[in-house]
Amino acid sequence: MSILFKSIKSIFVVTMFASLITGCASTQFVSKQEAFPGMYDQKPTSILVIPAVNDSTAADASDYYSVTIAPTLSQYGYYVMPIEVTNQLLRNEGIQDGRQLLGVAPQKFKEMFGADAVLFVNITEWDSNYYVIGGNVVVGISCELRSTSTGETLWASKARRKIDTSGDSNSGGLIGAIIATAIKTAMQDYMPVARQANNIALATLPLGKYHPSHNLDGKWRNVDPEIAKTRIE
Amino acid sequence: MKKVLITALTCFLIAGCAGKAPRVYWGDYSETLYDLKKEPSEATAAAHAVELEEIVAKSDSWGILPPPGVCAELGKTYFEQGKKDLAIQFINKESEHYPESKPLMSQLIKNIDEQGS
Repeated sequence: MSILFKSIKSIFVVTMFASLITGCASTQFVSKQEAFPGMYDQKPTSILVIPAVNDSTAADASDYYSVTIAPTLSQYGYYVMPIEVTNQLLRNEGIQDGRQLLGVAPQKFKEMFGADAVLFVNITEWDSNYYVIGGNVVVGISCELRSTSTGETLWASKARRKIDTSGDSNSGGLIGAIIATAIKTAMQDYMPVARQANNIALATLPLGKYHPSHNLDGKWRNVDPEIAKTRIE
Repeated sequence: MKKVLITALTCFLIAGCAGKAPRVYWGDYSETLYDLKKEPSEATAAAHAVELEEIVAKSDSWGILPPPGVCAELGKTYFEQGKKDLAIQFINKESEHYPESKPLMSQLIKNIDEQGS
């Protein structure tokens, strides 16, 4: 009896161990509805994008980033408050940096702008890197959407996009490759890199009212629960 | 014949894909605004204003809504150019197209009226 019990126990331990390993090895994606139930309960239609919190080494990253986000958000079916207008109104109040707004109660944005939700963005990287004969341009962002009626986090995500700008080492030898890399890195426009980062990050965003698949995407299982835990502090 | 078939199929595929996403036309919005932020000048400001006008005109001609915020931003641009009537016209257009913008647009018109008087 005790031998049987022991062997059952060992099988149990082995199974547990195996399931733990597989659990670690492959991400268990969850559905949009499971990850972001608040989005399906509240169905926000208008989003206010406030100036990004800039943790990159580029001082003007927040300003440049702001030109890329509205098109992507609107593709997902949301009404995006006119960013150039809302940023101007915030500047009139002495607010330039998103960090100044981190502690503000989200409900305040409903009063000021009439938005259903407010999008906080943290720019973690906005850099060009050189290394002898190689180079790249990187944009990293974290996003968190908060409800302006309840203050809760409705959706969150993050993404990092790197575009390689290494010169072609087959033409013109080493010097040629160094020069080619320098030119390619300097010329690389941040806009497509930022846009691709937005596309990756927003892939898990439930579709809004202006998208034909609004309310039909709840079962799409593409959310990494770890990434959904992203928060901006 | 084969060529025609392939072309027809491609068109069908493209149309099929386009029908899935909301039909919004942003033109070169990000590019002209980026240029304006990078090198603010009369030329870059004018280029972005023209782009905004074109986005609205093309959207109108295709019978689709202009992208969210573009009419409001054009209104702001007209106001800065001293064209108050056009400014009000486009800010109203924004809230006609997108009722969720109404509170903010009403506030903007109030601001213009106060500054204008």
